[in-house]
Amino acid sequence: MNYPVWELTCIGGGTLMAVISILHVYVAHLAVGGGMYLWLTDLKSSRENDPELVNFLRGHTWFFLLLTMVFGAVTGVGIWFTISLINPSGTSVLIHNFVFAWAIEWVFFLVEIVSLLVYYYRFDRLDIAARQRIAFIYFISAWLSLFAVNGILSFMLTPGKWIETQNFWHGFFNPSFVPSTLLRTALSAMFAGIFSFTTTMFTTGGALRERMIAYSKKWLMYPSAALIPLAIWTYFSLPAAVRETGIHVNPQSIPSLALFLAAYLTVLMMPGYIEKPESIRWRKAMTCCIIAAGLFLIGGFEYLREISRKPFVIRDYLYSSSIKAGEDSMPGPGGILSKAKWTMPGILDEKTMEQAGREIFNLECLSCHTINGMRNDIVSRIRPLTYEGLMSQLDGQGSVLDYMPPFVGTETEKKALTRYLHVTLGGGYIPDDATPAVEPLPDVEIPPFNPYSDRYVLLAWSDRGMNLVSDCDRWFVLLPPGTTMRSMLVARGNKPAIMAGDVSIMYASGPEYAQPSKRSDFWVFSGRTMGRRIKRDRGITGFATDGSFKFEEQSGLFTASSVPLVPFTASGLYDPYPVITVSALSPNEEKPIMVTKFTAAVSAEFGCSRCHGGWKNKSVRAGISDETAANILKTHDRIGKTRLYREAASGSPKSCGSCHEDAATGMPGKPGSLSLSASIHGFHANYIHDTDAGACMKCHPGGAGSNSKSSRGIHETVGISCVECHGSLDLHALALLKGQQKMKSADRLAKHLKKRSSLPLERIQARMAWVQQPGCLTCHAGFDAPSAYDGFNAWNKEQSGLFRNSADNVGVPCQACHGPAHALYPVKSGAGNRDAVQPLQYTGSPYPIGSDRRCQTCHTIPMNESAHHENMLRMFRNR
Amino acid sequence: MDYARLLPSPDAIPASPWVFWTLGVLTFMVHIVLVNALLGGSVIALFTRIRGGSASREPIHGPITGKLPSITALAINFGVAPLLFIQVIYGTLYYTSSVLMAVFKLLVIPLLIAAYYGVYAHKKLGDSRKILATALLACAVIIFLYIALLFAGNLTLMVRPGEWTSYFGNRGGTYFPARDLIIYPRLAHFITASIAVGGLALALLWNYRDNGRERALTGLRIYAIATLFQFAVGPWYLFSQQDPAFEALTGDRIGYAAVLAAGILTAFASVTAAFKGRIFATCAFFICTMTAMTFTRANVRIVDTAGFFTIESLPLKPQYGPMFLFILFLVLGAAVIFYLVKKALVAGRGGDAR
Repeated sequence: MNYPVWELTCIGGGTLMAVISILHVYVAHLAVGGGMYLWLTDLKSSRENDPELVNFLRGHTWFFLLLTMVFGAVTGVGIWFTISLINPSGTSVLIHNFVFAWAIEWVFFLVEIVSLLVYYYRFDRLDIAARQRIAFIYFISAWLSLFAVNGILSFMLTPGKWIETQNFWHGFFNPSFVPSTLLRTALSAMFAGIFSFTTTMFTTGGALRERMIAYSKKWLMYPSAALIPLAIWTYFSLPAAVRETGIHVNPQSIPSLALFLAAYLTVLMMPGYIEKPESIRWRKAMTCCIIAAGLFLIGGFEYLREISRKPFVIRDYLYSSSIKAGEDSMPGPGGILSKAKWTMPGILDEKTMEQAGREIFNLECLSCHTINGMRNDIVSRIRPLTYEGLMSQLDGQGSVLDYMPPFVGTETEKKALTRYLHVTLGGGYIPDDATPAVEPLPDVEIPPFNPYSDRYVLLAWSDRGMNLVSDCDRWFVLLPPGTTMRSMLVARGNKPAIMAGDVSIMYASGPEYAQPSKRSDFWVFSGRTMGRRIKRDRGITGFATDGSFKFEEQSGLFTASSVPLVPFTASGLYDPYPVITVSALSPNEEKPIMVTKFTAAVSAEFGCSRCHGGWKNKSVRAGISDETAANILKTHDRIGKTRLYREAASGSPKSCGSCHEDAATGMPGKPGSLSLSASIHGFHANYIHDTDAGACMKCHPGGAGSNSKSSRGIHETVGISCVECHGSLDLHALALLKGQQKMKSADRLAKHLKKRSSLPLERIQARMAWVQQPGCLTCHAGFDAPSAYDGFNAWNKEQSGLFRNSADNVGVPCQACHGPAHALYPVKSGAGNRDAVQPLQYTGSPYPIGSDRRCQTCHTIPMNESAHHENMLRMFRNR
Repeated sequence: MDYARLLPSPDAIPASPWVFWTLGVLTFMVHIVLVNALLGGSVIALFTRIRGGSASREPIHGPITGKLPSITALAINFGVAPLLFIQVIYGTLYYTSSVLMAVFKLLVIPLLIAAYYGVYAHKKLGDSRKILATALLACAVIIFLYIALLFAGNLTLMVRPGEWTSYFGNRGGTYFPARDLIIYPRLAHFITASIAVGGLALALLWNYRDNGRERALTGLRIYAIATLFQFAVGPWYLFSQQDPAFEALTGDRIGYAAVLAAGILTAFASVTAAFKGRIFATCAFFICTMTAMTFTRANVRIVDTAGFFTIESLPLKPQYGPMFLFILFLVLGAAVIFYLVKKALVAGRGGDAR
């Protein structure tokens, strides 16, 4: 914010830095190891009185001098030039705090130069002892240079106590200083071996060559044995947060580490090939391979070190964007643009948004990202995201993926940056606020019920107010088709009886919903996604869209589980409210003894495309498009280090539940992975900061313009939203994550949520998804009107305590009279009367069955007792 | 746009700003002498190579040709120190100026590597492949001149915050303050000084050769003539200064004017000594001139920046321990270098210094 930003758009400062620094560091390490090599080899030559070796050493020194003193020294200056151009603020901090360390390093550098010049130009004129002493001076001064520079380099990664004290010594002798200095020393010695091979292969011949190959090999092998233990020591000298963010979370760590290890193994293997008496050309080629491997070895190491530091240039002190830690959360009312000196001044309005976005991009993004460049290209990263997705990305930046810095700025600045990224760079558009109109569905015919003559009351319901079907099976299965329906038949009388197995109950979704495999790929990929082939047009438990309920002795209910309903009809419509006709049959009677209907709502209106892109056509919002699904998988792969996209693209999609345990579908998941609900809510809560139900409606069906509504019952009507029962998204996520807090990934997702949560984590009750839910009686104490709407944090202990599994005092399930959760009677859903067929059929009103003292629905005599539950003998409150 | 809002906020410095100012001036003095010798030696060598000469007689540039690579190494090393110290006190201005001309600045690195290898190759080729050697040397000279021009622009732009607003029209790092006319006398001043120092270096090198007196006098003549030319370039440079600097050097600030006057007088004395063939007197006066001019350069920067920046205003967070350690290592380093140079000189004369 303090300095102008060099707009290196497609090349990127990071690329420049990487090229210059890796080349320099390779040669600079060689200068140190080579110094040791010159000294020890010179000693060896005199100890063995070997004039051939002296001759070799003279030639080697010439090559060494040309490489280290010219290329090494100038690229060293080049690093200074480069960092001061791409990150002047960071450079300034290093210079101002460690100026005398640099100055001392300069003295060592001077001694290095003078000693090497004297060593080379007076090689034959100096007496041997003096020459060897000078070689030793060179080596020591070169190593001390490394010592000084590494104090500052390691400071950048692990500043340790310096953060509090700003004391030179605390910064210099920081936690990773000693192991990394030793590690670099080992690398230096290895590089001396590499270049010993080089001069051996290119300047010698005969027996000397073979002797020098054996000698060079020792230089390579001995230090390489120390390299891995030293690398491990260095790794463990890093604070846990650095290891977690930089190495475990950052996806770039894997290629860097792989490069380092592959190069290490290559360096170890190559001498074996060089030793073999093959053709000299082959051996020279192998030598070139070792030189390249050495470059990749140091490149992998340096790159790993660089990315371990992200998002900082000086860990915990200064972000790569040159914003100081601590300033990130308080840009002030004027925002970052008012604080940054090198931005075009002016009022931020509609006309200046794009320019402001560019300025903010320069300030916060350009230090790491290129525009259409090779490295960290911003355009390819933002393309899969929509405008809203980018806004959310900025909201959550620096949280789960904390190798990125948090966005700093006001809401308007965030919009300006998003506009610049999405529209200017990405070629996207900003959606208007208009929402497509939703046509209300027509009423269905209510089946007849004669309270004077009908002998039965047939009740049926879906056990969830809304089932969801992900409908992107060729990519992944989030939720397979599977609606569980229940039914019960009540024989009316003075004391009504719940009928058991002596009747049969049929269900029919009708021809529009039959043969769902024609409209869903679920069955095509079920072998891959569900682990077994599911019979076409059958659900995972074998039920079809039309069929017979199965009587369950345990619950005393007729049940059809996982009925494969999809919201796409044979006529090509999207209809999320299929009406199921239910008929009770008696073996003694030809005609059904009672018929009823209910809607088994099923939706495919996920909100994924709001952020992950995909749908361009606002009139078609159901299902997850190929583009959306592919974008999601790519994101999962990048963050979770999986290969889901590639696997799906090659015909092997997975079900989310195959890794993430999901009690909703009964998928077991894998040990060590979070449950699906904890994972998906925990992750997205970091990016969606709204605390009202709007956050829920971004993903679940029910927002503006949605054809289906997850929550559409009486609670919705009286203004009780998701958050009154489940808590705001952050609390909801934290409760789920706390239920799995032994897992590292839960901690990672909860880390930043805790900071903005309205409740401290210790006061949040852990919850298991789908097993524990908010209970009705938390608010409706004594089945009475609530005094407060706060169902969060009071979960049922056992699964049997769930609303869908609960029954009244005489065994009638709560859902039988009240309807399913989220669609409690009376329902205003826009689905006509579909959500209220049974109350209308049996009571003529949309209220719960039996409400308003309508006991005669089942009882044939007046009732004066609250037999089913307390407080039931009264008029319905919320009309 | 008011440039005041563009001025970056400085970081705290760990010792008195005058410590860094002084260290910067002193190390720069060594750097600039080496750079002058490098450019001057290269230009003279190029000139004499192109002009040709007697095959039986070693050309005037002979002794310096072999030393150009070592001079380059030392010039680069001694460039690091003042670069470091200038960043401590003038970092806010220096970084800003550098970013504005980033592309040109970064080009210095590959070009310098090329020039460095060029002078090595020139040395190695010697007289064997004259055209190639001359071409390589010419390339090196052109690169050295580019670097000189670049730094003249960089350090001038640094003290001209009014020019910084050009950033808003060019953010790609390709701005160069070519319209600031002071750059040209500044560059001419440097080139002239380089030829003078190149001549003086040759005089010294020939003087140590047997029968080299005559060639040493040629070197001194080059020094004297170039320095006399400097008496024309110098006033051009002086008159190109902005008013405050010009006035400070011409009497407004007595101290600064006196230092400049001392530099001019000793330069005059050095020319006189050079024409008389007195090498060591010339060197002594030259050192005085160099010292005075280097301090004058630093004084002009103080005046140039006075309107928007003073080094006394830098926030101070003293930590003197590391400074004392630096002084200790500097002394130790000097002692080791003394030992090394002594060994080299004795060994160069054919015997070992025991």
